[in-house]
Amino acid sequence: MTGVLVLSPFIGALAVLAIRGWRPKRCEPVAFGAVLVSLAASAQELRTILTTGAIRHSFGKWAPGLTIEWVLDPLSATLACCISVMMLILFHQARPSILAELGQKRSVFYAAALFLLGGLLGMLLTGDLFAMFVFMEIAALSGYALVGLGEDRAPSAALRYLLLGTVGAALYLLGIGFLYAETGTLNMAEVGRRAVSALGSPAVMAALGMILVGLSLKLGLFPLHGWLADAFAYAPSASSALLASVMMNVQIYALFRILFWVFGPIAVKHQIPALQILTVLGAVSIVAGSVMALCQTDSKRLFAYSSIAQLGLAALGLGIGNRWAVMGTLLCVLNHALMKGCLFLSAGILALRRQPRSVLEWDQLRMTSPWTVAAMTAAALSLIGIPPFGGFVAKGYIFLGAVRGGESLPALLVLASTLLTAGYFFRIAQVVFFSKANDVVALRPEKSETWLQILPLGVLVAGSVLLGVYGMPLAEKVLAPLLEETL
Amino acid sequence: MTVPSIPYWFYLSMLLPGLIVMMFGRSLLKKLVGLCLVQSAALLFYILAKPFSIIFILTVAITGVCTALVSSWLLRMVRRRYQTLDEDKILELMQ
Repeated sequence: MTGVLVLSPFIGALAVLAIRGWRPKRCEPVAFGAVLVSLAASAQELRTILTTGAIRHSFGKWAPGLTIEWVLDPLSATLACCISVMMLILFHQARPSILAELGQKRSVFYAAALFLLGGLLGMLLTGDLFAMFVFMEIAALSGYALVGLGEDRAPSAALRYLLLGTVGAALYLLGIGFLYAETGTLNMAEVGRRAVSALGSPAVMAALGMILVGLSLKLGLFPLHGWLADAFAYAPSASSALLASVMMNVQIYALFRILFWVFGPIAVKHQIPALQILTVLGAVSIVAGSVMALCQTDSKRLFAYSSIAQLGLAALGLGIGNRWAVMGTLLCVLNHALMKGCLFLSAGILALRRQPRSVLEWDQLRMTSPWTVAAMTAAALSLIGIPPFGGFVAKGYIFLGAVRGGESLPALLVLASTLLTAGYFFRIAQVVFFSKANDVVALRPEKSETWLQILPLGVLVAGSVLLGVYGMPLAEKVLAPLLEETL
Repeated sequence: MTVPSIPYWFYLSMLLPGLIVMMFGRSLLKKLVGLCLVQSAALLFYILAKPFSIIFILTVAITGVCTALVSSWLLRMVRRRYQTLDEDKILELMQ
C-alpha cells in the first residue's frame, strides 16, 4: 500500500502528460483520481498503523546501509492524509482560478501539482537521507514549474526561486555526503546511531551546518527568504496556495526529522548549537516577516510575508526543542496549511471576481464578497492565535514550551508574534470593515459568490476550528506518546 | 574506504566560485552557469568519494539535468518577455 500511496501521484502525472494532447478535458478527472487513490491509500495505512504500530519497508538490493527504507508512523501517515486532503480541496476550490488564469496550460498545472504531491509524500515517508533529497528535488522542480506557469513577472520569480532552491539542495546534498563519509550509511536511524561517536568531528559539524542552511533556504527563513515573496505573489493563485499550504510545511517536518531523528535531541541541544541557530533564525523571521507584511499593500505579497513569519514561529518551536514546543510546531504547521490555503484561495476568488489586489482598495469587499471576507477573517483570527481556532492551541503549546524550558525571550517572541500578526491583519480589517465604501475605486461583480467557491473555504476554516477544539487531546493523546521516544 | 582522506575543504572551496558568480553576475545566464558550478561541486564529491554507489551518482546527475532543463525553460520565457537576460534591465522594465 505504501507503494500505491507514493506512486499514484507520479502515475497520475505521467498519465496527465500523456493525454493532454488529445484528451485535454480528461486531465482534470485523472488528476482528481490520482489524489483520491493517494488519499485512500494513506487513510488505509494510517488505520493499519494505529492498530499495529509503525511499519518499515525496505527496497533496493544495494549494500547494507544503502537500502532505501520507508518508515510509516502515525505522525507521517497523518501528515500524508492531511496533504492529500489539502490537495483535493485545493484542486476543487481552485478549478475556476485554474481555468481563468492558466487556460490551456492547466494540464501542465495538474501534472506539476501531482509531481509535487508525489515528492512531498516521498519526503514524509522515506527513512533515507538520499531518497529525501531526490523527493525534495522532485517537489522543488514541480514548485518552480508551478510558479513559472503564471503571467507577467512569474517566470523571473520562478527563476530566482530555482536559483536559491537549487543552492539549498546542493548544500543539503553535500551535507548528507559528508555524513555518509563519516558514518558509511544513509539510513536515518542508522546515521543517528553511528553519528553519536563522530559528533565532534568537523565533517559532521559541517554536514549539519550545510543541511540546516540548505533547508532554511528552501523554507525561506529570514535572511534566506529572497525568493519567497515574489514566487508566492506572482504565481497563479492555485500554485501559491499549494506551495504555501502544503510544500513549506513538509519542509518543516523534514527539518524536524533530520534534527531530532538523525542527530538526536541531546546532540542538537547540547553538543552542536543547531537548535540555538534555529531559534535565532525563527525569531528573526517572525519579526522581519511581520514587519515586511505590515509594509505591503499587495494582498498576495502580504500573505507571503506572513508565511515567513508563521514558518519562523514553527522554526522557533523546533528551536526551543522540548515536547510542548515541538507539539506546538506540528500543530502550527497543520494550522498554517489550512489557513494559508484559505487566504491564497480567497485571493484567487477575488481575482476571479475582478476585485482589486491592493488591500487599500478593499473598502467594498464586505458588500461584494461577504463570504470570502468571512473566510479571510476567520483565517486571520486563526493565524493571530484567537480561540477557538487552531492557531491558539499551536501558539499556546509553543509558549508553554518556552516557559517550561525557562526561555523567556522565545516566550516573549511568541506573544510579539501574536501582536505583529494582529497588526498587519488589522490594517486590512480597518479598510474592509471600518472605512467608508468608495464607489469609484472598487468594481462590483455581476454575480454573488457561488456555494462551490465558498464551501471549500468553509471546510478549511472548519478544519482550523476542529484543530482548536480537539488540538489539546490530539497533542496529549497522539503527538505526546509519539514524541516521547524522540524527545 | 578512502573517506577519511577526503579533503572536505576542497569541495567547499569548489562551491565558492559558483556562489560568487551567482551573487555578482548581472546576467541570468551567468547565474545559471554559477549554479551549475555549485551542483558540480556536490556531484564531484559523490564521484570522488569512492564507496558511493553509481546509482547515487547517476541520480545526482539526472537531478542536475532536470534542473538545467527547467531553468532553461524559465530562462526562455524571461527572454521572450523582456527581450534581455540582464538582471538590471529586467528590474528596470519591471518598474
